[in-house]
Amino acid sequence: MSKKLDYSIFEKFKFEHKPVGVKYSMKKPDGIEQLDKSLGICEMFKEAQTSKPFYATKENVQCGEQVMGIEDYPPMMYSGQLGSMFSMFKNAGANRRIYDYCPKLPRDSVKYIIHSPLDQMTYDPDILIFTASTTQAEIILRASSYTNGKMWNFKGSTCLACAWIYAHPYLSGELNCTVSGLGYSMKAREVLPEGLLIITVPFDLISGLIENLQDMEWEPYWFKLGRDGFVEEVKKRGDELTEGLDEPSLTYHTE
Amino acid sequence: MQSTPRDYSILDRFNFERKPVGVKFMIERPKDIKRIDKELNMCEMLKEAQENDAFYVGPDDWVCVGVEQMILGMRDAAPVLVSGLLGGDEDLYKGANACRAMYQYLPTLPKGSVQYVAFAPIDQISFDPDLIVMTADINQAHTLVCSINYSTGKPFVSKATPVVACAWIYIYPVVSGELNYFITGLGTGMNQLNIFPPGLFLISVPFQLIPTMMDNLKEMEYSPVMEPGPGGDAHRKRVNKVLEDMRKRIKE
Repeated sequence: MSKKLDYSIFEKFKFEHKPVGVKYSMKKPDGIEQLDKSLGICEMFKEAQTSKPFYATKENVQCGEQVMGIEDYPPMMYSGQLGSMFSMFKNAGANRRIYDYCPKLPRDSVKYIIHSPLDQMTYDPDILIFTASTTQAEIILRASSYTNGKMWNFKGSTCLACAWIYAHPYLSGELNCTVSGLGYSMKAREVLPEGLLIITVPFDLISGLIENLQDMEWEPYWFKLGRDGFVEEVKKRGDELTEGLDEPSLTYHTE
Repeated sequence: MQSTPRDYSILDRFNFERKPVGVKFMIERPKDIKRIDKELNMCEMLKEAQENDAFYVGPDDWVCVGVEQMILGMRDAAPVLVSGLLGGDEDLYKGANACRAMYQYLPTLPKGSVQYVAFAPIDQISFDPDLIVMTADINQAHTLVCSINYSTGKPFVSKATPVVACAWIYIYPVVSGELNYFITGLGTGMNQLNIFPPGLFLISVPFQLIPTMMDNLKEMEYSPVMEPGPGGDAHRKRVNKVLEDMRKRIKE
């Protein structure tokens, strides 16, 4: 495993919770130790925020092993029987449906789940997980569509938050975002304080994100004008832009 | 328009017989580019830019049946077109209903968003293009259509209709953010205009993917000649050996 990208731009955020890079491997990583406890997958990135880099194998995964392709869902789970017991779903039928769309890694395609805080990361990760305030998330999300105009499209479900944080971005190539406090087990496990944005960026979007963060203005002057100043400035700049074009100037409804 | 364009020199290794062309959609008249001085359909403009200097096309320069202005968001197409009547009567489709259905799929730019379209051969490009169209043979295309897939794993897909090829060459990639390719000889109108010999790949890469393509092409192998493979037995033997080595490595 080697690292080609320069991740130093992320230091500028001064994250309270460190970004974590995750890599899925069939080969035991060199120079990284095995996790010395058993955790749910959704707890592992939290663990990595304050630990040395580690890898987890089947023995370390207390929950979420099906999402990692390490085990198949047991019938009790897959049939949806558990949902009403946990007050997650009204009945088994409602619970069962999630297994048709919750993403999971192909069976037996991963043996070692490697986690590292960004500042100790020695590899280019398969996914990079940010735990961000709304202000930090606004910058990351704006950067994510800065050059391509793509729509933000966040996916999730009542349970299996790990599927949306760890599997969906990796499999789909799409950035995903959830909010701490929404994932059922994550909430029960008190993984993070509520209201933080958990953003996962897959490997093929990371270099573009870095490039855009280097290029774009993080705090545009538009954010500093206040409500009335903003409205006034939009009209003024709009008039300037449309001058000479065959269209009416921008109108902005004000009370 | 950006005055310091991206470095496209990595494309030189392909020694294209026909130059790649950059295209940009604008609401303002481009400066320092001359206006087109002949009547051409939009699909012919690609060839024009390959063989000449950069040019722009203004609102009054479109000469096709009106569908070009429609896909550019300049104006609605005439009822005789969108009703499917032309395509049906001309036997391009079984009936007007099939031809009308085709219009539901045609990608278009937002209405009123474009007044000018600039074309430039890549070696003269002075702007940051909205897309690059490369005209490639099968060997070049083998590398180029994989140039996004190489780092994303996403399938390469070609979307097209037998008419209005220009929508799939110029508009669809920008609207969808996806690479698209069109094979010459499949477009009815283009065939009538004798633009290209059949069997060439027109590969359109939108601005969203140009950096990815450039980065990947720097890493990807390319041979100007498509060498024959080693054959079934030798290939299977080699792959089995690679797999065996990998399994050993994973067990370590």
